[in-house]
Order: sequence, then C-alpha cells, then structure tokens
Amino acid sequence: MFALFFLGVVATVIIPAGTREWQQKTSATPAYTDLELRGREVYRQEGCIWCHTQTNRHLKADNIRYGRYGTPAPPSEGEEYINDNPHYLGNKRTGPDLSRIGGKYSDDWHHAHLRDPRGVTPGSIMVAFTWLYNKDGTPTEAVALVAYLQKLGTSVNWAPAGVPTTTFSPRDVIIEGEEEL
Amino acid sequence: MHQDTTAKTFIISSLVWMLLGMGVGLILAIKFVFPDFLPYVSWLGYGRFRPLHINLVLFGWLLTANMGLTYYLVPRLCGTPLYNEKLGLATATLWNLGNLAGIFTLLGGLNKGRPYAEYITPVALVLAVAWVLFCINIFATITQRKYRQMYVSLWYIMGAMVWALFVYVVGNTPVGMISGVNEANVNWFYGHSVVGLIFTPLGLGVNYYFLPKAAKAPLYSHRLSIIGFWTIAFIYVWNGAHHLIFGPVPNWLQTTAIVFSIMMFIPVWTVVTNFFGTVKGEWKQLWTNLPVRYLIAGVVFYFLTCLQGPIQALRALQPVIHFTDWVVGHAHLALIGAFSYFTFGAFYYAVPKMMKTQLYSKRLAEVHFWLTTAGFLYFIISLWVGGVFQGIMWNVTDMAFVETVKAMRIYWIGRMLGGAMILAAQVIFVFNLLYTFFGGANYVRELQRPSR
Repeated sequence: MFALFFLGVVATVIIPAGTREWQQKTSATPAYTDLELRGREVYRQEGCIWCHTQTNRHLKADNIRYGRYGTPAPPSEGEEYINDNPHYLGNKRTGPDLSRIGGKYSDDWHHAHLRDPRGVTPGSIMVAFTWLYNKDGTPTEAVALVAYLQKLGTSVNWAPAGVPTTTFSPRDVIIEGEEEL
Repeated sequence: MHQDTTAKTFIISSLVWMLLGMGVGLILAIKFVFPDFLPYVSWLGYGRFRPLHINLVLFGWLLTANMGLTYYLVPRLCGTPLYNEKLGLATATLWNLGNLAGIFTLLGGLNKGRPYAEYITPVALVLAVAWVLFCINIFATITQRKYRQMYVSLWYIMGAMVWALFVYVVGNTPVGMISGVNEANVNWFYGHSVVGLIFTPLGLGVNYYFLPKAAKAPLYSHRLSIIGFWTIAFIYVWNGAHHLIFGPVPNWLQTTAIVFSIMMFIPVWTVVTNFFGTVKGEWKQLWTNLPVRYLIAGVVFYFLTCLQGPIQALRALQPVIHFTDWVVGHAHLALIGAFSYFTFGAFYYAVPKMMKTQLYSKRLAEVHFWLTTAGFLYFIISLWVGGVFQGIMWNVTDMAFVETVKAMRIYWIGRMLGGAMILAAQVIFVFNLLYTFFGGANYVRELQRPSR
C-alpha cells in the first residue's frame, strides 16, 4: 500500500517539482515589495481565493476575456508564480479571473469598488470590504491589497499602452450605454 | 458487551458540527442572492465563512461521524471490546477542541490559504494528534480480535487511517519549502486525496459493514471488495493534476491525471456492483427498511459522482465546466449525496442498537429522508444547470462578466432554497436521534401502546 502511494507521489508530485519553469533560479519574475506582500496577506485573510482565480488558462475564451483593448492576454505560465507562497491559483470563478488585472483599472477605481462594489458595478455580488477602510473612506489595509492587485500579471510585458479605466471597463460602458438607449 | 461511550460521544459531536457547518453553508448561499446579508463585519464576510463551511462539514461532520461509526463497528467485527474507552474519550475531547479552535481561527482570518488545508499549523497539529490516538485505539482493538480473518470493512478503515497520515504529511509540506505552481500541484494532490483516500475508504468501509447488516443479506462478493480496495490504492493517488487542466502545469502531467481519472471507473464499478448485488432480490426493503434506503440512495449518488468525476476531467469538457458552479455541485454530490447518506443510514441503524431501544419516530425519519432528498435534488440540479450555463456564457467573450453574474441569480436562488430544505431536514434528524439517545425508555412505552 505504501509502495503504491509512493509511486503515485513520485510520479505526480516529486518529478513535476523538477519542471524547469517552476524553479526559482531560472525565473526572471521580480520579487514582491513589502507592501505587495502585505497585500497578499490581506488577499489570503479575506479569502479572495474563494471567488477569484489567478489562472489565465491556455484557452482562447480566457485569453480574450481577460485581455485589454482587443489584445488577448497571454496564458499564465509557471514562472510567473514563482514568488507566490501560498499560491492563489484558485478553484472557483464567482468573480472574474485576476491573473492579468494589474494596470487595468486605476487605484481609485479599485478603492471605490472594494468599498462599494455595487456602486461601481451594478449587479456585482462581491463583499463590500468596508473594514479595510476608515469611517471617512480613507483606505487602511486596502492600500496594500490594491498595490498587490496592480502588480498581478505585470511581470509579462503584454498590455497595450492605454490609460487605466477609472469608471467602467470598456465593455461595461458599451453595455451600460445600450441599456440607457 | 459493548460500552460504546466513545462512539456515542463522537456521533453526538458530529451532529452538532453538522448543524453548524450546514448553517454556515446556508448563510453562504444567501450571500450569493443577497450580497449585503450580514455586512460591515470582517468575520461575517464570505471569504471567512467559505473555508469555515468546508472544514466544518469535512472534518467536523463527516470525519467525526465516520470516526464514531468506526468506534462502533470495529469492536463488533473483532468480537472484543474497544481497546481503551478512556483513550477514546480523550481523543473525542481533543478532536472537538481542535475543531472548535478551527472555527475561531478561520473567522479571525487566520488560515494557511491552501484549499482544504486551511487550518493553521497549531490547529492542524491538535487534529493530527487526535487522529493518531484514534489510530492507536483502533489498531490495538484489531490486534486483540477474536476472529482471525478480517472482514473487508477493517481493510478499508485501516487503509483510511494509514493513508490519512501519508496524505497529511505530503499535503502539509511546510509553506516556504515550495511555492507557486509547485505548491498548487501538491495542494491538489492533497485536496483530491483527502476525498479519495480518507473519506472514500472510510465511507465505503462503513457501508460494507452496515449494508449487509441492515439488509440482513450476505455481501455479494468479497473478491470484488478487495479488487476495489487495491485499485483505489493504486489509482487515486495520480489524479490531483486534473484540477489544473489547461493551467500552467506540463501537458504530460495533465494527461496522466486524465488517464488515471478514467481508470477510476474500475474501483467504482466493483463497489457499485457489490452493493447492488448485496440487496439484489431484496429491493422491497427500500420501502420498508430506512437504513437500507439511505445506504442504497448513497450508492446511487456515489455512482453518479464517480461517473461525473472522470468525464469532467476530459479536455473536451473542461473549457465549459471548470471554475463554474457545476464543480460545486459535483463536490456536494460526493459529500452530501454519497458520504452523508451513508452516514445517515448507518446512524439510523447504529444509534438504536447502541441505546438498546427503537428509533424515536419512524415518521420523522421518513420526513427527513424525503425533505433531504427533495432539497438536495433541487440544490444540485440548480448548480449543474446553472454551472453549464455559466461556463457557456464565459465562452461568449463579448459578454461582460457582471452580466454572467446577474444571469446566475435564478440558479443561486434555487441552490439557496434547496439548501434551506436540507438544513431543515437535518434539524428534524438531529432532534430524532437526540431523543433516541436521551429520551430513555419513556417513549418506548408510548410506542408499545396499541395504535388507534
């Protein structure tokens, strides 16, 4: 019984651990700053992982959906995660994937959205993270979280130049506009 | 004569954890429909409750319940009293304290961030020590056994106890030793093995004991049950990476996981054939014999789960169902449909036996069965239909994500209502069992009175 278990572990856990792009040494991915690391802590503590994946799969639908201004986002590769401990690959998308979110929205957009998701995106069911902010709306722990979100997916140079969205994502603007007409 | 103190303690504890765990589950389901339900407080947030739900139902309810049933059936299969009841009670205390500490740490935002291994190291260690004490007690009982030959339930239970240790050691590779996708791969090996190498052998071991007992029919085939055991031992370990298909893991690893997932049909076939074969010719017992009905319903759900599992792993289906609510439905099919139903059936059989009495109310038990089943089907069909719909919408790339969320609302309402029915049924169940435990002889006299 132990032999069978050991065989499976060697084949599916130990051998893959040697995959070249999973090794620290070969990775060009920059390390997280202290603030971003603190943001990762908030991400873990608030359980963001339960609704958001960080896996842009090798699928056209994923790449196009999480791309920007018509440019599809490249799929996530092993070395991008090399500094992630714990990993946040995720297993459920109640909200959108976050692997390429960095730079898509402005910091102000993120703060408004984290504090009052339905005020920014009507129909969203995200938790309103009011406890990451002071009573007057100035961010406390949310500063670190947003710094981390802005970092996500930026170690690969893919995003077309453009101003981060401050109100709605481009697709949302079109859809909202159509509803008004 | 069997004292059963430990078994009773574990079973009653598991009932408390079940109500808590399913209650938290219902709160989560409500939050999908009314996102501002229980707002403004960090420890009431969705992200805090979600890991709590998983850990309470997995380790509080199902594992505690199956440990209790193990304490019940191993002495009976060995023809000897439990090795040490005092050790058993100490184990129960430690185990419950571990789970209680788990609640507070998770609500406080202390978690390891690894799906299915959220408990922080101190809590996980308390639970691990309790598990080792449990293993010592059970193994010592087995070595004292009167009958030389070991019935298949003992195989499965011993397997689960040993595998749990292996899986735990690999799954808790210290944070810091591994990172990124490497850690995700270990995590999914662990996450899959928790179900496959702990809950599956425990649940099947319990069913291998209770189904022939309750149906008063011999097991269909001992050889098939042993084939099932060794194929589970061989095949389950290789499946972890099917949670990462199209993700950042090597193709050969994904393909290996898919191939072994398909091979899971072998153990599943042996198990299902064996259970159905045991009640063959006795189908009328589904109407007259409540434990048998629960155990067989559980086998049907087990069969469905294990049909879904391998097929879900195929690359053809992954783009539609992965990350959707379909998968949530699949998980509940295994853990409510199969393993909880096994446990319900076993409880209905074992609790009156331990108390040397009858079940307090057969009618309440009937209500429990039909309300659970109706609620569960409503719950799970909502998630399956909704999940496929959700996956298809995600593949329509010019549909804004929030539109797909709005479209899911009707399915999430279905899940919430189904979940409420399940929880209501469990309140009835717990009342019925606790009355059987503590009601004493009073109601038995009532039952014996001639009916109107």
